[in-house]
Amino acid sequence: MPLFLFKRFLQALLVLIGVSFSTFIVAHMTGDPVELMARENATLEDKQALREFLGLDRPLAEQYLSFVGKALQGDLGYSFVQQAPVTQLIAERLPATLLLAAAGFVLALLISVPLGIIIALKRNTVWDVVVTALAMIGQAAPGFWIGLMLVVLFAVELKLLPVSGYGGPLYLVLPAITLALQSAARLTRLVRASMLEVLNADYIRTARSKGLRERTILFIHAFRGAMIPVVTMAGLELAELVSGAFITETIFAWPGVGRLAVNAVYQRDFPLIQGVVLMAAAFFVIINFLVDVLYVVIDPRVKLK
Amino acid sequence: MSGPMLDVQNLSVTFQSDGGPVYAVRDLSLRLAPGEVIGIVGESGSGKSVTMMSVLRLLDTRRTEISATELAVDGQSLLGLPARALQDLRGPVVSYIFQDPLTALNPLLTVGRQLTEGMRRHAGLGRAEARAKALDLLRRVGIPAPELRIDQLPHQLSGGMRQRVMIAIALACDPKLLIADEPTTALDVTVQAEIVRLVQSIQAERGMAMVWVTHDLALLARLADRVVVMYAGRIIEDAPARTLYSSPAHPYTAGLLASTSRIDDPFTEQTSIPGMPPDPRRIAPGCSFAPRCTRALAQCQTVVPPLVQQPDGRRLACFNPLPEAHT
Repeated sequence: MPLFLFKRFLQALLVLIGVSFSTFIVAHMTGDPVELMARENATLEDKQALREFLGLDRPLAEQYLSFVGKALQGDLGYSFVQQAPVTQLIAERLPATLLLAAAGFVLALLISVPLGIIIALKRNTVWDVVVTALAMIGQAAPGFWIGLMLVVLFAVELKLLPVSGYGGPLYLVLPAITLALQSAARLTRLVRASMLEVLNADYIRTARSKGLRERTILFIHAFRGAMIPVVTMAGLELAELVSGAFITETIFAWPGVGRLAVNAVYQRDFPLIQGVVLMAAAFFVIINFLVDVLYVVIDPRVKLK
Repeated sequence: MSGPMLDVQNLSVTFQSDGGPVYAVRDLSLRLAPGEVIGIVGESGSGKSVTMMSVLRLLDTRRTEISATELAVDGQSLLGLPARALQDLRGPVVSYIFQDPLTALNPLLTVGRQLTEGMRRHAGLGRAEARAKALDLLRRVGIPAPELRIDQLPHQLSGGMRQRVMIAIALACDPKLLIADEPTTALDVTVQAEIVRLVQSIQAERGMAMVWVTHDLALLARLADRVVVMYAGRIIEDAPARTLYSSPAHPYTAGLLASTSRIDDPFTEQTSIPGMPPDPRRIAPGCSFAPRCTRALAQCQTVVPPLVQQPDGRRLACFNPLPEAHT
């Protein structure tokens, strides 16, 4: 176990270095932020001064190394535009994103796991066909469209819920459902496929030959095995959600990390872009690690080495 | 109970496949006395496993159509029996040993869990009682250090040990009828003999009835009282083991025997039956074996030979059987 943790830690470090490097390069390829930041009537000297103030006049390699050096000390730099430490900006926005992610994720699981199991048991019936078709539509439909349709129906027409914004629990409902529906569409089909595969396994027939009750067969013999691929996928879904649902947060004016990142890109706020992307990468690494640990709990054949 | 242990009359099993219906078992009738050991032999796809699986409806009911005029175990008819009542028979009355112990055991559950769940369900044993009985069973099937093995997972056991666990599971509820579906096919040759001997000795000490499904005719010689030969979903010959081996009457049985290597006669050349078994999706009129049969008559091509009781105790479905007695 300690060796496993150590190896994992090194791998995570490599991933984060790779991510920081590519983000740095890509961000700098988008152009010069000074052109966007400077006043209309700024002279060339003004712009040069601003460039020096931001440290953008230094060679790229030097800029990158200094960013990495500070990042290792927990300092992700200073936002060009918002004039505040990147860590502070992210910390302010993170609770909203985590709240939305948790709500969306739990809802997605509550929808997809039971639904996937039910249609696997009722395979090739009307239920199966209808739910599978809905899941495919949900997977194909763009998130913004689902969000807007929900707004039109529940906020504009029925006036049950607020259109957008951040406040009481009511404000959470529509964005959470928007996220959950997309996630659930993907997961439901996976739960169904995985469940069907396990239900066709020889050991399910053995369980049946022992005269076990159907619910014992379903929950003791089939469910655990069927959840292995689902956990992998759900982990990725969760990582995606906690790193900021860019589109959903934008539609619902949700003050999360996603919107912070989108604005940072518009304004070529390099330190902020890097900070947000790095945070997202860190979430992916952490959640993948948790998924690996969860495998050991589900599948005793897996040993952490 | 003096009636038959297993009574199957006019059983037909049809699968719905994408390529149309597959006629896996056709008009099969079979009786098994209490304590009797029979072998069912046939090539892959001859319907031997399907026949036994359909007894307790272990086939996927969505794609399978089972019809029979009688299907009874230990005097209890299974036709139209509700699923719940059927569950009560699985284990204490009829139990199964499957072919591949690697896939037939749940990889995520311990040996102990898989061994005790049947007893706890059927005999209502408590955790400790069931565990004690499980340890006894593991000992009986020859597993060394059962106290260690009981908490292990199937992948921590060798293939032979897994099959011993499978046998222990099948015996857990003291069944009256044990159905062994090619239990040695997936094992090493040396292990095969041990498993056969083990099952044989357990059968003898418990006196339960047993059906051993295999494609290995030689294996049944010392195991079975009676051998049933299946071809293309039908029984073509059913005879006491001694009679069948010394004087096979159906040309297919004779062909099977000739293709079996004999340890006591290494100089006789093995011969194989020419041709392939028919596609179970297409039913040709007449005897299914006729196209491969050297003794086929004109009527074999058009009329299905009925399975008829013979004076010497066998049942035979052939219009032109081999002449009697060439020991």
